Amino acid sequence: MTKTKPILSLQHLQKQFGQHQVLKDISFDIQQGEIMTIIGPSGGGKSTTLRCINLLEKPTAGKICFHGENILDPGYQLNRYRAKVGMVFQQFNLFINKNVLENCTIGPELVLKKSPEEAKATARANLKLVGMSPYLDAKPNQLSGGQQQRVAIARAISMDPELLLFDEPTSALDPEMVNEVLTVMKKLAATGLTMIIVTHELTFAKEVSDQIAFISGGVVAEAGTPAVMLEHPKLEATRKFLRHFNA
Amino acid sequence: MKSRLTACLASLLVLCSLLLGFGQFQSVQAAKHEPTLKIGMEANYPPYNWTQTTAAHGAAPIDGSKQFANGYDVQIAKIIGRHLHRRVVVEKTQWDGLLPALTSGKIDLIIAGMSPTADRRKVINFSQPYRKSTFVIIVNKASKFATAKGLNDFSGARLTAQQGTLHYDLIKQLRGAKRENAMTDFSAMRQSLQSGTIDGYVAEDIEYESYHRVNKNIVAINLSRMKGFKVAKSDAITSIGVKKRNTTLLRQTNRILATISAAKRVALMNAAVRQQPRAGDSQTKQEKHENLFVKIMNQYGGMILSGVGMTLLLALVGTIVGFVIGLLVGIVRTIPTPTTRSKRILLRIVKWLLSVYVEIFRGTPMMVQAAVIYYGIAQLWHINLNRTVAALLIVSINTGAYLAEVIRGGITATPQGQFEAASAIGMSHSQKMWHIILPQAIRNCLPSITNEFIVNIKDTSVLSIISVSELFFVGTTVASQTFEFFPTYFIISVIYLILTFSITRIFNLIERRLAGPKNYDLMGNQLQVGLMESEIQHDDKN
Ligand SMILES: Nc1ncnc2c1ncn2[C@@H]1O[C@H](COP(=O)(O)OP(=O)(O)OP(=O)(O)O)[C@@H](O)[C@H]1O
Ligand SMILES: [Mg+2]
Repeated sequence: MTKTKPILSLQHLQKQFGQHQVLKDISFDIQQGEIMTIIGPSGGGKSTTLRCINLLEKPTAGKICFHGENILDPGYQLNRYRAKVGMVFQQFNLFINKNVLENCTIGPELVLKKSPEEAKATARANLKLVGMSPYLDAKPNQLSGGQQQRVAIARAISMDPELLLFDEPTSALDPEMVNEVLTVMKKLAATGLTMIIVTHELTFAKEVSDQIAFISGGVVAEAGTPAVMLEHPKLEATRKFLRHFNA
Repeated sequence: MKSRLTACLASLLVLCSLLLGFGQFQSVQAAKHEPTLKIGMEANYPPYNWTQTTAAHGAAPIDGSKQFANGYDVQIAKIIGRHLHRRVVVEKTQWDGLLPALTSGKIDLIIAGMSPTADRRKVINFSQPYRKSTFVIIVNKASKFATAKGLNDFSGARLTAQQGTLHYDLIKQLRGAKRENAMTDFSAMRQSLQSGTIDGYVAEDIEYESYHRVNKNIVAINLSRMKGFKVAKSDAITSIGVKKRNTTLLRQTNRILATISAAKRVALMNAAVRQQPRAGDSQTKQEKHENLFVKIMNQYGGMILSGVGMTLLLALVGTIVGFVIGLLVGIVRTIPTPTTRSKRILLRIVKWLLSVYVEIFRGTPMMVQAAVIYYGIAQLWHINLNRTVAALLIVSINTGAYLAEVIRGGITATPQGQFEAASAIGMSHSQKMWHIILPQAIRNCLPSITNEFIVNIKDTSVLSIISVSELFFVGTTVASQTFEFFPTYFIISVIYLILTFSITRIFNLIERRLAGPKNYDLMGNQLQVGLMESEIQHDDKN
């Protein structure tokens, strides 16, 4: 892979909730088109890292550079940035007052100012990609968890994001639904979209990732290619964590 | 869905105005070009003043309604009006509202059987007396107090009198008598005496004269002649109230009163006693057996329907405008803290003001708010608000305060994930609110909004304090004219019930519509769905 300017670069990111220093020093770069997986023990700060990246939480120190510009600088167009960085939540968070199609068109119409026709066409195509075409009229609470998560993915990609964040997209799902979501994500990976994925699905991570980061205790304890990270991790903590899954 | 809701509300409004139109079966034909002389009275204190539906016997129109007032006071007022070349218009006002109405300039004169007591003289001026009164206690003939001779003969008697009058204070001179709560009008006292909840009430001889015409089972015990009975001279007379600064009008009034001879006054009073409304008016023996309800509806149906219209209008407009106010307040109160310092301070001030608004209007009775706003605006800024406008304003502001809290609750109860998902897409705060949060919050609040509507239908009855002709006010008027308390109030309560019941149904229907269809149609056929699913499974195996 040619080393160009990273699309996103975290530099010594810190986050404190009251007295509790949750993120101590998170730094990593991600290149255009790369897929990065974040693993690590519960409470290690994975979700907080993702939430800082799209500013659902405000970092207390450090830099988040998007195309080389620090988004934390005053005056940076935050809503425009957020529109370019999509997020898929563990709990789906579909808009419950909108049906499937509307969930995917509202962002493009309101934020990207697309015409309703154009927004609908894109949404239809994306819903087709995630296999949810038949359910355009359904309301979120009429769908299974796996179906909701696939709509959430379609909603995110309808914004035509440059970067897509996933926070444990399959851990709220029954086992038989996990695969339908992972399949969709693999399809996306193949399109060259830049993604950061927090997951415990190691087989999946190994298959799609360009790099894997192990976040624990608020720092990136170790990072590297899947082959290195999953087969020959340097740290004992990483090995211990992995043993859990391979057992 | 939205248009259907709008159509529904629009047709309710049309219904209101149609019903209001029922009251317009008679039109005022007085010369419009003459300046008006606005007279304040209860129009519910026969024979001094009462309300009637026709202009018979030289009645004067009641402002803001299609009804008329007549009585001794009205006839005196008309004489004054004639001399001043001003057209007499009666402002029907509750007893306690008369002084504020005068001082705030809503009326020119109080001619309401009022005595010029020292307390009242502090606030307004009084003319020369236009009647001298004798005080009596009215009791049932069968009562053991019917034979009372002195101030000491009322031990244990449950007595009352009209609220805010001298009569009520006079009870203190009767040793051992129990002073029951004061009542708002004479109809209520008559009713209480008849039903035995009181033993008697203090009034003027003229009240006895009038009541005796319709109820032969009462007697009057003359207080004025009793040994030891004390009453200030100013209290035994009835005068016309004039605003302090208005000395010209006071002089004119006195000059005109001086032209009315004693004989003329007696004649006028006798005519009033004869003409006053009474139970069994225009009734033959057979008619008595006719259904009372049918009778009341035949005679006063138009008035009652127009009362229904006013009540509906107040409740509907009040709830809608209140909802909009509540929505705006609720939104502002949930704006997240802004980043810049100046905006933060501004927002804090606005939020503080709004919470003061909510606390004040939730923390005081609507009746008090109505009195304060209606009379206050007139007194402070000399703006004479139309009663209906004032009433609409009050109900709206009051409802707004309640709904602000309800909607704030609805907004905070919306799952955090909805806010986050909307933020993650890049929506601005207002986009999040209008498209995602509020539709959910409002739907969750709908039961509370329905509830508020129903409360409004019932609670607008307290606006009778500013004499808005809503259903309850009309009911009181009808009852005092027919003396048929039970049938009238029974009809009124049935109407309230019908109103609240149908509103509940309508809103349930709206709620169900907003929830959307229970099922959704699959696009394309099942085969296609099967294909989709298998396609995903298939990919997975690769
Ligand atoms: N809003 C908050 N206020 C205070 N503490 C918080 C908040 N959000 C997270 N934390 C704390 O930050 C720490 C890291 O949480 P985070 O959700 O980032 O962990 P995680 O790595 O995603 O764990 P998991 O695998 O369980 O999702 C936890 O100890 C948590 O209690
Ligand atoms: Mg997490």
